[in-house]
Amino acid sequence: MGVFSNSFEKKWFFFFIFLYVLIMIPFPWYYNESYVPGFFGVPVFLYSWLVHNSVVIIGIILFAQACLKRKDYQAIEKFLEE
Amino acid sequence: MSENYQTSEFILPFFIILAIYLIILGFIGYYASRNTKTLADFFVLSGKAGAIVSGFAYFASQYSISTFMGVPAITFATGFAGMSVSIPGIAFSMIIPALFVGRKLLLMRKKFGYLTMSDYLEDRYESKILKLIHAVLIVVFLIALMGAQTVGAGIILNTFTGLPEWIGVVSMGIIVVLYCMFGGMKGAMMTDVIQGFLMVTTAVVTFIISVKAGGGMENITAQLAEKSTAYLSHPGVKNNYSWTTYVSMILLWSFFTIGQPTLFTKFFAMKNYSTLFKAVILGTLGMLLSATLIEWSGVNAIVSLGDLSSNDFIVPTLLRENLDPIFASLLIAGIFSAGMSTIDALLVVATGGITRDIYQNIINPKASEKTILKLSIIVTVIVGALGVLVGLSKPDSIFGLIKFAFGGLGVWVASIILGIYWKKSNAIGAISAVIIGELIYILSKLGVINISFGLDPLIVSWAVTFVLMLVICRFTTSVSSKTIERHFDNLLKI
Repeated sequence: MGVFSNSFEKKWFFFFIFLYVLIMIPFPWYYNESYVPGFFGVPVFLYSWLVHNSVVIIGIILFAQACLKRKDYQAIEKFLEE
Repeated sequence: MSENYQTSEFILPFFIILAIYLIILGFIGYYASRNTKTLADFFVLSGKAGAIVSGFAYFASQYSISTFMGVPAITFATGFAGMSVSIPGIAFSMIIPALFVGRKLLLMRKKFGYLTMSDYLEDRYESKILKLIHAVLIVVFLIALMGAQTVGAGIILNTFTGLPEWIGVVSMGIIVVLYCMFGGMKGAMMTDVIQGFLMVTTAVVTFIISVKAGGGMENITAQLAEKSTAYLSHPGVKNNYSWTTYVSMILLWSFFTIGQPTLFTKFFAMKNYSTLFKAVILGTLGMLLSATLIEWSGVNAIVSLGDLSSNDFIVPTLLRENLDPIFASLLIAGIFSAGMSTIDALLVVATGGITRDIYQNIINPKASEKTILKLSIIVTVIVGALGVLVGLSKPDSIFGLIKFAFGGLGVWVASIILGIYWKKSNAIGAISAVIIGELIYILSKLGVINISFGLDPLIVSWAVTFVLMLVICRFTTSVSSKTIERHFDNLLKI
């Protein structure tokens, strides 16, 4: 349940942290001091943020499904519902 | 463009819609009060909140009136770079706290019966002093946060009806106090569902009308480019969204939300893991949709609204200029909602800080649950009144007040994370680190010292807190083995 408690947790933790750090790196598609127009003239960085956020949300959905299938989570789930 | 919008055609619909909306909230508060029998009901809904309530409540509590007024004001002044304030890292807002602490907190509440964040700190660090310091500080910072919300209410009322701002400030305070007094967390979280829905609707409609008012997206960006391409690139036309600010904002609204007691306790209220994950997905989608569209509307308004004396007027003005009075009033209720849904959570948590953590912990340990519940009602009124006083004195802009208080609470993240992940963390380390961290943060904010390296002062203050805790705890005695076993070795043993 902790971020380093087993290989499953570690794998997902590093997946989210990778995405978290990635968005902070000043790649020109995330942070740009020049105007690079995308669709309708909107700066490309705004579209990149939205794509990045969508990938994170898909990651959350997959993570949730994977967690709830695991026996350790199911055992705690039963305890929480008691 | 004229800012004298106080025409009679808006006053009647505005008050009628607001009255209907408040009656609905009052009814929910009354319903919640009938089901609030114990302290656990009052503070954490006895850990029975479902996914929809939890998701909406988390998002509606984090996103306040600042999201609908203060932040669009920034994007209006800065351009697209201003959207760095929350959009780049928005999907991390709930998953980062859920990953690091949320899943453990849910289990701990069930096992150890925590009702407040201070309960956790006291139990983990075996320290009533740490609990007291935390309780006092959260009450101070939460009152400042409440003040910021009421400031927004005053501006809305003034923009729409011409009535003095103080009436809006006081009215919002009274309404929220009324439904929190008796309904506690249940009243707050149930109303959050309606408020969250209204917030999303307001954001969607405001975005559509802002594009239309600007003559279409292509025309808006072309006009902005003609004015200056700084509106369409970093660090923005005001030169205030540099890369360090960009990184600070991502960290601030995700990692540092771990230290926000109003969000922390939401994990205590969730029923189980299935609820937690669904709430994270739902809440994240709500945040992404509403923040993106409302902040983008602020940029679009540069073309259609031109110069305004106060940028905080952007969204109310867009609605008022482009919609009929009834529909505009309905959506304005959405902005009121944003403020109310944040104040209600703040009120419940601040009340908990005073009644449970200070009164029951220090002054009267033998106080019965009934006494605390009664006292909670009185304290809710007092804390609400103090929030209103801050709103009336308006010491800073909405966003300025929120950032200050948010940072003050964010300093606690080191003691929470290390408490959960490091067995050697102890009270001496946590207390010393937090006191020094808070001092550095406040002195940096006041401009007395400058060691932030262009980042938000919270980040440096937190880093100092973290390192100090590591060093002090390394050379001092850990908490008892019994506590270590409960919090680490036996926590997952069911």
